[in-house]
Amino acid sequence: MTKEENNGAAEELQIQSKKALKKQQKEAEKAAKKADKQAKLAAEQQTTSEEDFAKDRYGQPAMVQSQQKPDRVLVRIQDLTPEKADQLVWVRARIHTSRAKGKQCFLVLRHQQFNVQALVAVGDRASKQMVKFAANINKESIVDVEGVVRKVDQKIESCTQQDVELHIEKIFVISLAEPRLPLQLEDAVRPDGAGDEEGRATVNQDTRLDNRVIDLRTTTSQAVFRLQSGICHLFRDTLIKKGFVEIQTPKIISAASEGGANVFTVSYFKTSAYLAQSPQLYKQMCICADFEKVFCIGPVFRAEDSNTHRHLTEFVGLDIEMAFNYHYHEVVDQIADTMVQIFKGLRDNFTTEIETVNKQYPSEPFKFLEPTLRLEYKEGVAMLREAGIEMGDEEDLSTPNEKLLGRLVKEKYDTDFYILDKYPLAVRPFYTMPDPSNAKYSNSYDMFMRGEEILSGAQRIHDPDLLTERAIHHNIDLEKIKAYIDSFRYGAPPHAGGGIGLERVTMLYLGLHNVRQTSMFPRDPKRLTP
Amino acid sequence: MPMYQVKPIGGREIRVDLPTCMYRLPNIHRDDGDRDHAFQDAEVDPAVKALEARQDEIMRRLYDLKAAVEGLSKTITTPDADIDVAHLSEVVDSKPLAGTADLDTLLGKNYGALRDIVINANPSHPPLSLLVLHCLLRKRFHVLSTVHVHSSVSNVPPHLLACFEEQDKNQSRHDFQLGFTLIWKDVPTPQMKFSIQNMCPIEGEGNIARFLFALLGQQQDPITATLVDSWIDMAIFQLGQGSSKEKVAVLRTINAALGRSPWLVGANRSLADIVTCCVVLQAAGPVAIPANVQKWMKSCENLPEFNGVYKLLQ
Amino acid sequence: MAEAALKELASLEKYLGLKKTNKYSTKGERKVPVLQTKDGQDIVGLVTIACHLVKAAKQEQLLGRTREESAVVQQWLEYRIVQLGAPGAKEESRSTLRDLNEYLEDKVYFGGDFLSLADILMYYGLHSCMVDLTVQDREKFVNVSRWFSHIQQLPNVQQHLPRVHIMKNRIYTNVH
Repeated sequence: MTKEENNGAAEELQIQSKKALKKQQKEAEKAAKKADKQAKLAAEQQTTSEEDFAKDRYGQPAMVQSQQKPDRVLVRIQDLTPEKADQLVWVRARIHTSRAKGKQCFLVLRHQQFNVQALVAVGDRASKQMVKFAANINKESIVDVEGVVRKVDQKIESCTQQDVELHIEKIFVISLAEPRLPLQLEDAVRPDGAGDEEGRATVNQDTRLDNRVIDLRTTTSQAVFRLQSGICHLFRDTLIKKGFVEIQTPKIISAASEGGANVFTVSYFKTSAYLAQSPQLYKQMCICADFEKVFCIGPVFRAEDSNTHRHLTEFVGLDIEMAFNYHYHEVVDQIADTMVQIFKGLRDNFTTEIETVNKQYPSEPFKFLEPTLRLEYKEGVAMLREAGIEMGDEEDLSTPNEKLLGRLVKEKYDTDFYILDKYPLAVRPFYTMPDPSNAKYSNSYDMFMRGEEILSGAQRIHDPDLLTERAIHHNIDLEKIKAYIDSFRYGAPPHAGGGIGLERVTMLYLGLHNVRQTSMFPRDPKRLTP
Repeated sequence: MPMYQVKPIGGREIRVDLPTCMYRLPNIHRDDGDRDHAFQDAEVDPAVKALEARQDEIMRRLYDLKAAVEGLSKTITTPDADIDVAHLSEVVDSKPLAGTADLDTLLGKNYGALRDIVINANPSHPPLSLLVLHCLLRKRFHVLSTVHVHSSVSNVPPHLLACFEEQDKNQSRHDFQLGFTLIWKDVPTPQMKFSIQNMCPIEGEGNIARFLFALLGQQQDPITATLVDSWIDMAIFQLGQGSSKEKVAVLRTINAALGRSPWLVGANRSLADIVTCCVVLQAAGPVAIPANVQKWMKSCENLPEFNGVYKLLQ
Repeated sequence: MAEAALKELASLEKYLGLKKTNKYSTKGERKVPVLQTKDGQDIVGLVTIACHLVKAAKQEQLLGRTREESAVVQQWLEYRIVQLGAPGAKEESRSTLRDLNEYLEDKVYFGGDFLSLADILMYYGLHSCMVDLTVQDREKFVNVSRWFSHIQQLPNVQQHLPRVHIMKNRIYTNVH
């Protein structure tokens, strides 16, 4: 289209509003530009087809529809090390960044959290057209690349593979990305505050979560969720070694498990049902059924309308329940040791992940003691009082006091993980076993990471009469918990347990400040998608 | 209501090892308390009190004079020698051991929970003297002893994890008078934390040893205390951290001192013996140990409080 | 407000060792304290009365030993009335604390190196504010806390006010 034609078209449309006119004009211009570009490209291609000696070395092949099973071995980027120097290798990766400079083009190829610098330069292997093609591939596209691994003299600071670069000889696009990305990966990994000074952008949380599929590609997200998987794995591994049995519990239940508040109602054919707030009842039933030591990993639902940094409406619960012989500390020790094994496993096997996250979100390394420090509630209150806080013996810890106590414990014992034992009976649920020596206290405990509660547990009352008595004391309708009480009527071993939230543990271990960062697709009162 | 008068149970003057890096100030809150006490004392019998005070004052002056004269006579007869402090310390009347060491007066206000002494130590260099003192503390108080490993170290040898004797598992934490929490941690020198609100962390094995020893409630006169201090410093800094030349020299000094008396300071086993012996055990290494020192170490080994340490070294 | 001012003056009298013979009242909407002297004259205003009491107790050094020093003392007494006594002072307390924290960074007392009436009145004036601070904030305004702890430990200054707990060690050093 030419400009004159444009004008002619405009005349015809004079009746339309000015806005529409402008819009149309713009679109027309766009179309013109596009056509222009295409024409140019075609022209170029024409010229190239005549003289491009490298035309078989690049391009966009047919979509992979599983047509063939080539014997080509793809090397992973993390394996591109100086040992591979001077070898010709195939690599599949995303275009992380690209920068054309005269007769050469620098690409950064990325696979998961690893990246390497690559170079296409005009020479006997690559033509001018090939360099141009490489430079024009949209960021985030997936490519297959063949090239020679070369050692570099100067370390490439911006890449994970610092000692080598890839000299590309062939490049094919496997999956092309849209030219415009909803967020830039470099922006998404920039540390908070660093963007402000240099006038560069950081990405706000909602944008990240709306475009989670791209956000999850960042090195930080990759590291966070790899570490999270590690926590799950270590949890399962440790408990299996300790002789625990993994169980699955139903998530659709007929009655609210804990009191009834904060529970989601779902329609269930002609009646309604609830989403489980905790697998506690089922864990306890398994104990009564002689499984002795059980754990389960599964979703837990809380209809709490609180938009805080640490509340989700759906999260993954890691729950433990265990029968013990004589003292509930047998259980506390097992749970604490499981946590310590997880922390040790993370410390020893996830160093790179922790470092990667620290680059964007700096935090002190997570410190812990083995065996875990166990303080009594009274001691905690005494420490707070010594620090000038006024509180009653049987008063529950407020969140600020909880955090302050965490700091005090950290300062004295230098641990980010500790247990507070023997809570006042008054602040615990009705099924908590009272302390045999002091009726004001109970056989219950909380565990803390970096001053935030991650686990709340107790020796449960396994005697139906005492349970009934405690329920009446708490003004709980006995009819509603009849099934719960009845499960202890046929002989029940003494038992205790507790549960932790996977997202919260990941967040606190890494010293992050929002649980949404450690939930892949977080659910909170304001977010149901993606 | 009329009550009968009793003497204060605990000694009012408690010696605390204050940091030596700061200058000493008079207690500014003193006046009220003292006035009260003066008043109470006066109620007992002012005349007797005054008389006693006068006698004490005269005695003190006499002792001072005696000490001064003896010192002078020494310098005259042996011009090169300084005042022989070892001799002086016998002249000064050493107070009898204060029987009841009240933890409240020693450690400050009790907030109703276990008072926990936390000691961080490097597993590559176990603070043996603190373990000996721990044994002594356990004889005196009901102590809850626990051992932890900090995440900054891995592979702590099992004998270090079992360095305390087994204790009654049935008691809960608040049944104990004192907590002794040993944490194996990557620290350059042993470190003690007690009250993080009111007290700075105490660094160094010798300084922690002094603090723990003070909890045992033994009172020392200034000269004995100073002698003990100097032995501790010599042991920790010269014997523990010095060159092998220095070590040999210190061992020779110790040997000489032990030639005159079975223990380093005074007639009984003091803190100086505990710390010095532990450092010799740990640091002497290839340096040959002189005869008197060997004999003295044997005596130390026979003391029950050293049991744990020798077991640890085997 | 008025109650506090009268209590403050009573405490100051005790600190100065004056026998309690003075009679106080308040006047006006903002209940400014008034001291009735024996010869029937009224002395009005917290700072004015405080200065009068200091002179009556013959402790003029609390007002500064040189002209320069007394100027500084007067300045802080004025600050005490204007900044801490004004309505809305509570809301601005954080920015006040930030300013004071900066000022006290290299000073032991408000006058620099000598105790003055300014320290005592600032102590009374800041007390309610310090009580409300969290442990973390007390550590954040470390210079104010250090000065405050120092003043409250001086003999006879604390009087009617409860002791504010100031930690000896910093516990938030590594918080990001």
